[in-house]
Amino acid sequence: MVALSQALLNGLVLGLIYVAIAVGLTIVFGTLRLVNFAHGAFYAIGAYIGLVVAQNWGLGAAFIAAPIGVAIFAIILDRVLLRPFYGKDVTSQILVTFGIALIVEETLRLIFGATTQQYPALQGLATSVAIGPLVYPLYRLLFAAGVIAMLVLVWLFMERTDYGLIVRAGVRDRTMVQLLGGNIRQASTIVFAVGAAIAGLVGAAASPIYSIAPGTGFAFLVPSFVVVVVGGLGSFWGAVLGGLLIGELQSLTTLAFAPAANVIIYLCMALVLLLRPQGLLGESEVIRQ
Amino acid sequence: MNVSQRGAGVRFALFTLAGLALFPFIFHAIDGYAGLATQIVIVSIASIGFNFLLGYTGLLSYGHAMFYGGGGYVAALLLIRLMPQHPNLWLAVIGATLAATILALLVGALAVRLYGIYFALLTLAFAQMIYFVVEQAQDWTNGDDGLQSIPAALLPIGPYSIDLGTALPPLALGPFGNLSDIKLWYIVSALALCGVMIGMRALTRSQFGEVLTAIRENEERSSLIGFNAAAYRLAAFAISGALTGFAGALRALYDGSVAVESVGIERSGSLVIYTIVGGVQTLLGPVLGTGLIMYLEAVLSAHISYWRLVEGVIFVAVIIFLPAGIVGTIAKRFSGRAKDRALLAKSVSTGSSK
Amino acid sequence: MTHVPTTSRGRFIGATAAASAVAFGCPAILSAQNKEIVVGLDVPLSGPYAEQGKDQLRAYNMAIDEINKAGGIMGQKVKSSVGDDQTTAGVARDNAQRMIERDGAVMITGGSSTGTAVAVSGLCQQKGSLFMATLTHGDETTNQNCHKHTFRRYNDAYMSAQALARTLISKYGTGTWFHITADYSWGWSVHDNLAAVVNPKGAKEIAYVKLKLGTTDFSSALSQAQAAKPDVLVLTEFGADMVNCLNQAATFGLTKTCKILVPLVDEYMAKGTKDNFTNVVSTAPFYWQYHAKHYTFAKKFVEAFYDRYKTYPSNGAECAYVNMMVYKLAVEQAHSTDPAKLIPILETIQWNMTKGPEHFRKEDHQGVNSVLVVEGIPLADRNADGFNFARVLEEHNGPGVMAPLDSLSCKMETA
Repeated sequence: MVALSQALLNGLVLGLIYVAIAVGLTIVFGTLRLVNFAHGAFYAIGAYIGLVVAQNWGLGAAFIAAPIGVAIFAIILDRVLLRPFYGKDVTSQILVTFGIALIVEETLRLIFGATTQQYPALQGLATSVAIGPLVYPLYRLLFAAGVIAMLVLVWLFMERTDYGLIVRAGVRDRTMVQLLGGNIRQASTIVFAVGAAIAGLVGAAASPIYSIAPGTGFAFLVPSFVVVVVGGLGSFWGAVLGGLLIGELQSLTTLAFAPAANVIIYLCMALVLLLRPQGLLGESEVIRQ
Repeated sequence: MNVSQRGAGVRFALFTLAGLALFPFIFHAIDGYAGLATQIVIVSIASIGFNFLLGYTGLLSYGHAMFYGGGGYVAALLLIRLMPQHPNLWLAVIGATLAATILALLVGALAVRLYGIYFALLTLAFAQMIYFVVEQAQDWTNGDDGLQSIPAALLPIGPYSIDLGTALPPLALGPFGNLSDIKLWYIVSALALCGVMIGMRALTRSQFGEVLTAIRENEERSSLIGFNAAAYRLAAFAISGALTGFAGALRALYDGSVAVESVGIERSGSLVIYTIVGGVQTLLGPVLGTGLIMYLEAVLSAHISYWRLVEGVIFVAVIIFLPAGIVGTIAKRFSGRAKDRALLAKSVSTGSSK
Repeated sequence: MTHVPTTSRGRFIGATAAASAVAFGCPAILSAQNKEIVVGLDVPLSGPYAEQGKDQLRAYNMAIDEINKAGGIMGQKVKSSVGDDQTTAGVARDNAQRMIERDGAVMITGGSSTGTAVAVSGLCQQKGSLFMATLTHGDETTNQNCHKHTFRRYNDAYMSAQALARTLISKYGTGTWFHITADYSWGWSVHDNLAAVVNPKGAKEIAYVKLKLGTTDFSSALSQAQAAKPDVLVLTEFGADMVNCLNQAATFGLTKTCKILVPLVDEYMAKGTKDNFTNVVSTAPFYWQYHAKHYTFAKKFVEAFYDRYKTYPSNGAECAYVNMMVYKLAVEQAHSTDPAKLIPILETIQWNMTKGPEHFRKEDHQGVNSVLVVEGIPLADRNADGFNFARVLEEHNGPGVMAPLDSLSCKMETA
């Protein structure tokens, strides 16, 4: 029972990381029709910015610096490289973003070295709390709470702001929104930056748990694609549902029969693609190329 | 096929053979070595297979390593488990290629109904599943450590069993190395690559190839004419998988070892990089791309630690500035000039520009 | 009807023939007489064991500089060719092949994991090149996958397990043991050896969780350990994996509730885990502070290393250094770098350097030398750099902890 509860909590933590990365990924696809294989780079950049800031000014400052830094990087990337690729054929998008991911990873390796880096000690946060018979690391619980809070803010952004409205409408009918005068360009850039910032913040927040190496971003990206597919490309709630599902599935399978843990999530992805390509909560028009 | 076309085909074959014959020696002069040359030749076969799917059929597969590594593991296991006393190269390679083809048919049957990103992600999903299964089936695959010490396969020709590790007789060639650098492995691989290139050239010029191109360009119209797009794509996928599996088997047997990375996402990614850089939709492109990048990897990595960054920059630069790849861009320039020359010659001879 | 050759084709053939004639007929430039001995350093510079690899490289460079300054080996300078094996078997293999074929390496050394060692070992046997394995701990390297051309000086898992068990058995023999293990040959080797010693004595193994090399998230395994409340928690992880694992274990409160064993440790791992390494019991083939105190050669080595790099040598670095020195010794005795002549020498040579008298066992080429059992001391008692991280509980002599010859499945080639 205790082992099961802990597995569920582990799955929650892992799932929330996937959600945070997948949300940015799925929104960007929905609005900009951009498949971004470089999204993991945002996680990694956020983690490294956070590392440097945390080493000098503490963890709190790191959580502010990381998303801002990544957002700036994302905006530059958008303006300089990615604009011509929006709405273009998927193959070119995958290829160029994959290339960018490679460049970012190697640049990080050049700057920070190839070895895994530890975040500075968490001081008082590196303890565990007792929840009944369960003992669980405090930081992981705080992390989970923090990501949930962040997701609520993103949801509010999507639902309550004009930008969010344009974005959501744009997912359904881009042309109409433009005809109606919505500044989809500006909204898109902001959405892109927000998605990137989320990934960057999670990168910084998760690294005290998982530590960071140049390849960590891409390593989290691939399962995030599973989440996006399962949840539905373009759907915010799909990303949330998918992320939690996949995270829990991975964690519980590890408990039940560890060798199958990684296979099962890709099996899920394959099944969804074959049986319901728009995902659990996606729109069925989205799949038409 | 008319006479001049056949001549062009023969020219192509001879050109390829000559190039492959000279390659290891020129390679040696630029800091390469024969072992790497052999590996380049073998991996080029996989790149050609991948390119057939991407360039000619228009499908981006992000999981081709499942064929490459799968072929390698099957070949290795056939030798280790079934023929440890009499390792037979034919059987191992043919068995592996067959296995890759079957896998391609199975995956393809499911995948070719999807498009674009969904196709890519589905191939990724299958490849990852296979990766983790290979990693976990430790009794068969030895997990992360891979299968080392694969028995050296012998090539039975008639009454003889040839050890492909045999070197040619020594003959010093100055800066081009020594004739004895070349093992029979290189000759066998080069002949295989030559055969694959000739075959691929014929295939892309055949009616099958033309239908594929038509489907790639405009699927709706092709189906209206009556072509079953899914079936053609499946056939292309199978051929692509078979070639890649064939290459993977050769590589495993040449190396004498196969590891789980050969089924991994980086291997899939590298096939993409080689082909794009070299030139999609060209015949020589994948070969050139493979040679260039593998050479850079081997040579640069010994001198600078950030060679992969260079590789990434080259890749992105090619995508943005040379979308047809290196060979593709050169080919366009030449064919453009050739067209102009032809037009000029015609207008001179007939006295008009019609 | 066959097509008549066009002039362009004929010209092309002619040109090729001419070029070939030039290339072949050119007076062969005699290759300069080999004035150098090339040694291939195949070490991890990226991946979970990168810190260990970098330290090995420091030691190799220092050894090679020392050798060259004293005139080289048999009058020839030693040159190194370096490759990053990325802690991956296939890459290690390819590096070794490149070093042998292109750079003319006559000896390959270095190592990260047992997986890479086995791969390189197989290649070196194929190519007829000597392989002096450095950082490989799994039994396989000198047991199931032994090769005539491979020599391994580093302790093997059997030796460490024997040493650990003998020091601890009285206290924990009958307790419950929970194993978290890296899922590859080294991890299995260590676990099997430990279990073989302690389980018959009454230890109860309650779990054996295997996690892929390079795992960063140990929460599932640690949760299970948490729930199981074992007496002994064995973390068979190395390098960055061990650092992550132990640090995460601390957040689960495990460093306070059970006795933690880390079967093999080095200075960088202790440094990365800081106070979490306090009271953790481990083994090491070399510990600079201890050996410098007891052996003059070791003291010289440690001081020279510190002078040059401003940091103390890890046990991987020491092994790298001694491997180079033993190689030099053997080549001078054999008057040749030819493995055919070197191997018989290496099988019988004895030396006394950093750890007292040592040699290689003829049957499996395993180094016979001592194993230390150490226990982590609190961070407050360590220096600023954190490298004096342990107290030595016991030093076990090599011969006493070796795997018995009749238990080996090593079938060595004759050449």
